[in-house]
Amino acid sequence: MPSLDRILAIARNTLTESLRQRVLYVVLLFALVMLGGSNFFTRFTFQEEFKFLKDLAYAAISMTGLLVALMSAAQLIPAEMEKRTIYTVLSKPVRRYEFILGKYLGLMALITLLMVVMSAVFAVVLWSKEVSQVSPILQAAQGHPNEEQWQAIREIRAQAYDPGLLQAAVLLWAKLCVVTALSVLFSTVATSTVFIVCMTLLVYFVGHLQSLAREIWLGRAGPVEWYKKALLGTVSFLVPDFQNYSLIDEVIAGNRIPGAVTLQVLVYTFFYTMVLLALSALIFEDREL
Amino acid sequence: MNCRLAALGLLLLWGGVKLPWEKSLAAQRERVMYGAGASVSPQLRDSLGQGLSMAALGGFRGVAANFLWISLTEAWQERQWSRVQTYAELSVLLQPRVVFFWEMGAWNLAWNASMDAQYNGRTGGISSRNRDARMWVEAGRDLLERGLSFHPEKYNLYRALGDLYWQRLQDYNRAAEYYLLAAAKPGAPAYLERFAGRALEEAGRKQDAYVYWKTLWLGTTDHGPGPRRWDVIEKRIRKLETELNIPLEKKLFPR
Repeated sequence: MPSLDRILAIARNTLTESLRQRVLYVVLLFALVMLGGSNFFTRFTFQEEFKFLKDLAYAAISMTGLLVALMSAAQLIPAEMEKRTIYTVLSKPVRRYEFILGKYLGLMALITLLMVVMSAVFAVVLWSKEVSQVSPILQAAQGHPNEEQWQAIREIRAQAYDPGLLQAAVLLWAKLCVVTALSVLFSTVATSTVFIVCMTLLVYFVGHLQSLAREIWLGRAGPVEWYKKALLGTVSFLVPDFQNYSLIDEVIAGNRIPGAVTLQVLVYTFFYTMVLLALSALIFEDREL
Repeated sequence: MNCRLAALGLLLLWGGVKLPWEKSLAAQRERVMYGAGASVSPQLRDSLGQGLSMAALGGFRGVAANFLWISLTEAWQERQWSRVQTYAELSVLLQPRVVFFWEMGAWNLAWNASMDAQYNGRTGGISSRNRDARMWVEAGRDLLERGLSFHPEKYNLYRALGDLYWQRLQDYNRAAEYYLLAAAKPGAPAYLERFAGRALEEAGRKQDAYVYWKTLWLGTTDHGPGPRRWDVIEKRIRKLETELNIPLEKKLFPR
């Protein structure tokens, strides 16, 4: 029977170790500067400014999450082997799949923590943008805005306090769940950190084109040579479809995404993550340490 | 060895399960992102595929579209209208569901580019400048009309088309048509229903305008102060009742 205590102990340890990495704070600082700096788009209409702000903020959060997932997961097993700490852990009554699960949960706790911090900063930036946009209108109207001014204020507030942004954050978090699980999977096969980073990045990029590959493989774009079809089929079969998370762009653009669609993407993420972790555990079980 | 076989089996099994699932998710995503599908022309779909793949690597489509939009603003400042048009087209290809890309892209073409061609055109005589100006107005109209298939539920593009027909083409009938459509959309500002009435008057359809204003007035009993500006509507009705010589007993405002 798996022990939740053991898994949580490993997760806690992974989180603590990751929080000690100085590079993490450099990345976080870079992201926070980007978040704050995104507020300086001026001389555009408020629709443009809010869109630029939100896109840049989500790109910063996404990039940070991706970097942290790559850096931390890539060092997961190779670093533990190098430092020989893995032998100490596995010599205790800890099963290998518990080790993998604990490591993954620790990394996800770290990413979640970072996302919460960055989202809080983003919320403050959004609020300050809203204030800086609404105040001049109210001042010009001397407290009594006319119909058009009210309309503008309503639209500014709708942009600033859009509940859909939470939906986008959840989708972004889900995307990072899969990326982190991919990193964990590669770290169970490889011994080189560079290899793990490269492979994860490769799958990440190819994953954004997976839907295109699938369309061509299924013959939607006309006939293709057999060897291309075989390659595209393999990509479709093995690589996750990261375009599922492109709904984030729609949410940021202010469009409503049905909750059912988001839920389906989350369920897909859950199962994909479970499969990747199960694969990691199976491969790690057989690995000579 | 057993574990590796199990891993391979799991991979194959998952591949078989995930493919139809991903197909169904992609279909839903397409519906959410590009509307009903049938309303989008095949040419536009093809272009979208190419445009989307440009920024697909990395999944930062929004940021790529913003970059294009900022480039459009630079081209606008330099009055390079063909570049403005190209950037507007690319922006809407990347993110067709961003309404202001269509709205402001069209405004740049139908107003800025067109006025610049008309008044600051360096080559050709008046007729040639007018022709160029008209060409930009039509480019703007084309952009807005294509945008409608992506935003049938929003008032913005209907309103922009109303403005374009009114201000740039002086086609008040079409302007009234679009203002009416805009006013009927959720969240539309109340002044749009007045724009529709004014466009009918401008088109010379005074009887229709009178019926329209009257219908608005009789549609509610609450004629107090507020965004619908009943004082303005009352003025229009009074003016038309005089102009159309409406008999006293049929007048809404006999005094």
